[in-house]
Amino acid sequence: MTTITEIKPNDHESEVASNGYLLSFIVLFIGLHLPIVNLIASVIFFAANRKRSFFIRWHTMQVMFSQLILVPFNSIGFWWTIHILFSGSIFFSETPISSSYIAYMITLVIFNLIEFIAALYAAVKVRKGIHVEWFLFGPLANLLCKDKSLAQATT
Amino acid sequence: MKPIVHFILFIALFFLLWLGLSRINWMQLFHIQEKSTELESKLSGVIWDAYSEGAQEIHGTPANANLSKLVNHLCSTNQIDTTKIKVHLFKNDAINAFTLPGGHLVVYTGLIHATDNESELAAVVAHELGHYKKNHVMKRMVKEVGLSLLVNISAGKSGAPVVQKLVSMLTSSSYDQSMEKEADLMAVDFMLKAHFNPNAAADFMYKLSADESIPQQLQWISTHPESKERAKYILDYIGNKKIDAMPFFKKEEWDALKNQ
Repeated sequence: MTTITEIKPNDHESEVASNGYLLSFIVLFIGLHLPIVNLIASVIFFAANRKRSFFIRWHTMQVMFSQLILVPFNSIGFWWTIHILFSGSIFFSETPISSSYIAYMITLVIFNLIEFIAALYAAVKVRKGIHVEWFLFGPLANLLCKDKSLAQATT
Repeated sequence: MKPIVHFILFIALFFLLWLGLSRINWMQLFHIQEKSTELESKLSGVIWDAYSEGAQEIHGTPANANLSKLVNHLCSTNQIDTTKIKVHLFKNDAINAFTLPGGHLVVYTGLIHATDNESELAAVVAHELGHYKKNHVMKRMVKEVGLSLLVNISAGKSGAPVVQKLVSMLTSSSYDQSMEKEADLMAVDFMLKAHFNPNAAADFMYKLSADESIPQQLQWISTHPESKERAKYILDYIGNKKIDAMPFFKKEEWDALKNQ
């Protein structure tokens, strides 16, 4: 994770961009059970802010990519759990609980926890107007969010 | 280029962490296996007590020894731990055999009388061993009764009628189609390895489903529906497999079983 201080957003931009990260906490408890909810929420948030300043668009896009990439992994964990629970029981079923399943869920928790902490850190920094670029999701946002012409224009 | 490299790193990191963590035996660490074994063991005791009460078990006869000899042979040729199988012979005219939790394999004298040769008896025993090996009894109980009720039963919190109902279900109704098929096909493999003729499994089913003179007591076949269809897929499965059948019982051993 890197912080760049070149971009100077105004207070309103910082607040909206920071809200994008906070949104992932609000839907966290629903998203843990139904991972697609997180993705839908971040896509809606991005769509609602897509014509706003570069700073806002860039950060909502970073949040959206973080959700987009985690959703397949979370969904596998979610449906694996459902399959175990509904195919008999956790002990005696065609797909009982196994070390592989537990290892997958621990991996999932670690990755989601890292994302959670990173989002918390980014929300605080972005609220202060500091640009924070994440590993993987930052370069992706850089790739798709190049148009700086709208910066400061629509806020 | 940077996003692609990051993406590959991200995926690699996820799978490496997963694979690394999978090497830890979490089942043992959290005592999950012990808990399920403990539940099965407790249930086994409760169910066996309820079933054997009032039933007429035969002990210490040559028939017992011969039946055990057959079961041990099928187990030892198919990597099944014989010490975990408890063979029981019950005096009952019903044509029935079944597996109960805890490795109790029950055979009725009526079933032995209905078989024409050792391969037919081996087919039924092999089928029940298939249910045992795949742990179908526990899977079925959990599916039909629910884990919470089973935990209550194992802890002695459920009344005798509930236990009796469970016993009745286990002894007089069939498993679902997929489990029956799995046990049937496994029985074919067991029989081939133990040098029995697996065609006897199909013959036995055809014979009993066609014989209208034994209606009421035909439990094993009536609890295993669509017998002709099963006989057909058994024959299909045998196909061109090499059958190396050898006589198992001496004449006096087979007679002792039949005359019990």
